[in-house]
Amino acid sequence: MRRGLPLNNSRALSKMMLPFALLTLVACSGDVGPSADSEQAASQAQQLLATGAAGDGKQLYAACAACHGAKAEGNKALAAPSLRNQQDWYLRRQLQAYRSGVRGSHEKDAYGMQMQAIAKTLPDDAAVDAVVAYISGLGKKAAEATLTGNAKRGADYYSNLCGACHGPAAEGNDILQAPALAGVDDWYLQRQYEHFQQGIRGASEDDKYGYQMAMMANTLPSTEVLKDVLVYTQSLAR
Amino acid sequence: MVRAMHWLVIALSLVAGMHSAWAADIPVKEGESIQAAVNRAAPGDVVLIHPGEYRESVYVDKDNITLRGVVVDGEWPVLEGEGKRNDAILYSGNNFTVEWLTIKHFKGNAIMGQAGNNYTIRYNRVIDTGVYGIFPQFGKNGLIEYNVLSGIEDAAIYVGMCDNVVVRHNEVFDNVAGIEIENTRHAIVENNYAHNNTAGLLVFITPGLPIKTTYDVILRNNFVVNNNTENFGAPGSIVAKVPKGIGVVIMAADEVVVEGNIISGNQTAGIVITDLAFVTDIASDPDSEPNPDRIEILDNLMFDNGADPVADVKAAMMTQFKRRGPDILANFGSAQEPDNCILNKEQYVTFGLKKWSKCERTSTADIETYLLADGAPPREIENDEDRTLRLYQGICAGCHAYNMRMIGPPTVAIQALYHNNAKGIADYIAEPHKVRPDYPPMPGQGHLSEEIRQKVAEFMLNVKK
Amino acid sequence: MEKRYSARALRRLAVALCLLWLPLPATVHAAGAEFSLKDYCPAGFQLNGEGCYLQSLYASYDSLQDSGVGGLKTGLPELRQGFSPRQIDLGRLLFFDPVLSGDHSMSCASCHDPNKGFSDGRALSVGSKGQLAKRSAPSLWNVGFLKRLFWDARASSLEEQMLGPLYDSHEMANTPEQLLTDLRASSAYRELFAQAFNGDSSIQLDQVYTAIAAFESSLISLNSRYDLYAHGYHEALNEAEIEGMNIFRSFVARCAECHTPPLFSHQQIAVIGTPEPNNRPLDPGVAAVTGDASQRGGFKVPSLRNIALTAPYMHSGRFATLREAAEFYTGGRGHAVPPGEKLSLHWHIWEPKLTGEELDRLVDFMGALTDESFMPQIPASVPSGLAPVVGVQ
Repeated sequence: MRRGLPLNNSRALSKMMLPFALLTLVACSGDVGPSADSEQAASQAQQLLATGAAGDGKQLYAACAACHGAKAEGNKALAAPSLRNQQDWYLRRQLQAYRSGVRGSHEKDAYGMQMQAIAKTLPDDAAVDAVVAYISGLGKKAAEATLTGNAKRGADYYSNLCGACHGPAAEGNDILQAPALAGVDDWYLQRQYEHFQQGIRGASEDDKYGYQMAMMANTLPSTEVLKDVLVYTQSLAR
Repeated sequence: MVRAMHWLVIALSLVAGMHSAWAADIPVKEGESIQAAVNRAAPGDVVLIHPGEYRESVYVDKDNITLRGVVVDGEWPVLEGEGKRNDAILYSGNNFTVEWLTIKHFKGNAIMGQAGNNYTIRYNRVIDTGVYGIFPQFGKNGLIEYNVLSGIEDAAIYVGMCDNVVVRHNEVFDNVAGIEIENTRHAIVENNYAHNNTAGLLVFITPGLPIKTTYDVILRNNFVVNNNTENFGAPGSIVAKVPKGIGVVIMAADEVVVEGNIISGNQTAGIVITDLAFVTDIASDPDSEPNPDRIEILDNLMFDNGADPVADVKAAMMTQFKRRGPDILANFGSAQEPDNCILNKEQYVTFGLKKWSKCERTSTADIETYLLADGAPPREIENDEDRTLRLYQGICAGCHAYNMRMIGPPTVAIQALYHNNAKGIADYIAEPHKVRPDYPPMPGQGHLSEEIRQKVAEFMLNVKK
Repeated sequence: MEKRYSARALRRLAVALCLLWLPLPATVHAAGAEFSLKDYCPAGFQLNGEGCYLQSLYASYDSLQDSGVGGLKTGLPELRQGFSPRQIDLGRLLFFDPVLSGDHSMSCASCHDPNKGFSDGRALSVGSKGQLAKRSAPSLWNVGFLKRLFWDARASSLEEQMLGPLYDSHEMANTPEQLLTDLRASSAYRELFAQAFNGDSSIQLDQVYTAIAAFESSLISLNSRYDLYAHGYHEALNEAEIEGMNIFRSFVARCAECHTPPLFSHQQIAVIGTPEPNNRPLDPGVAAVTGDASQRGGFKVPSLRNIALTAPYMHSGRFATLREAAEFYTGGRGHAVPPGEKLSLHWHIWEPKLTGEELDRLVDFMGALTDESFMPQIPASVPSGLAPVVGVQ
């Protein structure tokens, strides 16, 4: 019924504000920040979503494909992670977190803000479910490993600290709502861990699961060890 | 009316002088259960047992509990074992008091303590209970006074493996052993009347027990009279081997003082001092030092002992061409050594005391008591904070290390998962369910009260690096 | 309180820092498997300086004459402790490694199987060549508290004890020379011994014994439901178990007189006259060691912790169930002593005339002494490259 039309004021507002917001972000982000390509892709995505069909996951995903790739395989150049090895409930939760502003609201989370703006153009919960279902339907595919480090040392740290929630094979834990790490882009996970550590992500107690991870994000002693752990979790990917 | 009664009770309590402002009296009437009252009781409470017959065994595993009989018009509360119940009263708590009870016909003991410190056992009548009448074990600082015990096939009062005990003003008769002090230190046995037992007072070491010594025992101002009852001890028991007709037996114990007693009419001997060889048929224990050392016999009134000694003693006396038995017999071996001493030896008929020396002191009057002025220190964890800490360390920390995987997930992960949610932990540990495929299931802690679970959970959330 | 808490917190910090900042021990490769020794203490222990020390609620209590025996709230006997985490972990690997036996067929865990209460479920243990040992394998739970070892109490330390099974031709049938040769031939073991013993990779016999003793001493079982009752949580035991506990400590059954809390053994010798199986001749027990006839048929009183897991019972495994073992004590003083034997039976062996229900309650209570919450990890592989051996093969 509402499909394609920016009936919702807040959505319209956010759409208008987006280019300005992105500019600000690039200036002050803790990250390198979205490239011009990324920005272009993002605004394309919004256009597409604004005119897309809410019930049709494939059609909706077309918007996402601009950054995350046609097969959701991710695009490191655009800093968009692969979505293929993430659980559907986790993708859903994150999309909803972006939509509600729980995620992607911190001024230093440039990519998060970008993603928040896009997620907010998804018309309703049904659209979220549809696009997630479409991504799940693409099947599992592990992202390529890009980091180097000491996998054995990473395994020790992983087993001692991370495995309690993320599972013995970094496959995630549904009961604890802990996402899979194996097969998720290691460079993306590194950035997220650092965001948790720096209070960019999960700083608010309203973000229950994010806050949990933020509490854990001071337990690894160094970036070196973080990379070791990610090398290890990536080695578990199937 | 109820209210008036309530005030009356409070007024009476105040008059009676309660130990604690919070202590309550819990009355038990005939037909009710003493154990149920003990289960309801909190530390400091007094269970008041009214006259009548109670057919039950009672155990007390709490501190600061008093069981007090109420005697009305000469009617006592009676614990009746009917020859089939095990022990009448079994306690492990500290600061336990039991008084004003009549206890009859149990298979085991009338009053038995295991590791309770600061016990008081007084004003009880114990009749024909199976093995021991009063038997505190592994306790420090105890008072046993004004009890009357008879018809017991082992020891009427048996202080076993204790420290700092006073046994006084008791009457023990028609038992195999009157009062025994065994593998115990710092004990005073005074002003008791031990008569018509197989043996009156016994101070000794039993080999094969985990606490190996008996020393620093004073036997003073007791009547030890006519202990000539036929030994009816159970076959195999140690006292079953004690010859009848002995006033005082000192076996393998050290530093025992015998002073101011009236010891008369004991037909085998007034006092026997011996090493462990006295008891045969028992597995030897190399860790038990077998010799009686530094025994002191000060002035005692002794007469008419040894009139009809058992065969062994008679044979020993025959070697000295004497027909009647001795007031004091030091058995062959180390009991005859000069580290033992006696005053006015010439007053008595003695055997084996030739080498004994003369005691330097004449009295123990300077030793008033061996009870500890401030009691034995409490064994209980004193406050909730300590208890919570030990519980966490002793139980939780076994599986949850701060930031490493042991048996359960690291504490830091639990702190993240349950941030600001101690109740979540408290609920989970009551009935844990499996959350992680590669961790063993957690044992449930539902037996801990909700309050304790909550405290431990809060503690866990605050464990810092 | 605040101060104590901070001290504890500081120690925890030390543990954490060790884990996080010290270089992790070098990984050792052997036969395709990787080994590194844990640098943290086993469950229930806390690192204090170099060594691991037990944390227990029982530390809150004392015992008369520091005897470690008494009643509910009573301190424990002294524990062998203070071994380093790596020594304990090396001991764990050795414990499961069949390289310790002469023909590489048996490990310590053959007869001390963690899945069977660290016993073997057999009446008499079986040696590497199928020979029957003379006596039943005792549980190793809480063995670090024991001052005397073996049924006949002939060893006074774990190190002394393990010489028995290692070199007895009826058991692991090894020799000290071969043991050293085999261990030294393993580069993995050389590296692990160096980690556990200040860089010394030479491998000495006393190091082998220390490591195994360290592991054995870490086998702690003090968190049973009984223990919760003892600490004051009376709801932990049900009515039948409390009834059983009262029979257990009564002066009729007298169980607690020798199986004294908190360890449920007073660690003394007792002659109780249990029957031997299949008309085997009477085992002289302690008397064969000491030559003292009064100790004929005498054995060390075993702990009853985890007893429900370690059937069959007695030195000869004569009783298949706890019920049968309990029933022995009410069968009459000396009823199973062979004719012509005169034993100095313990004075607590008498005729308590326990009823069938009382025996059932005793069994209920002994079941409440079960606790395996600090079960160590059974290694998937061992440094020798041989397959780890657990239980009777």
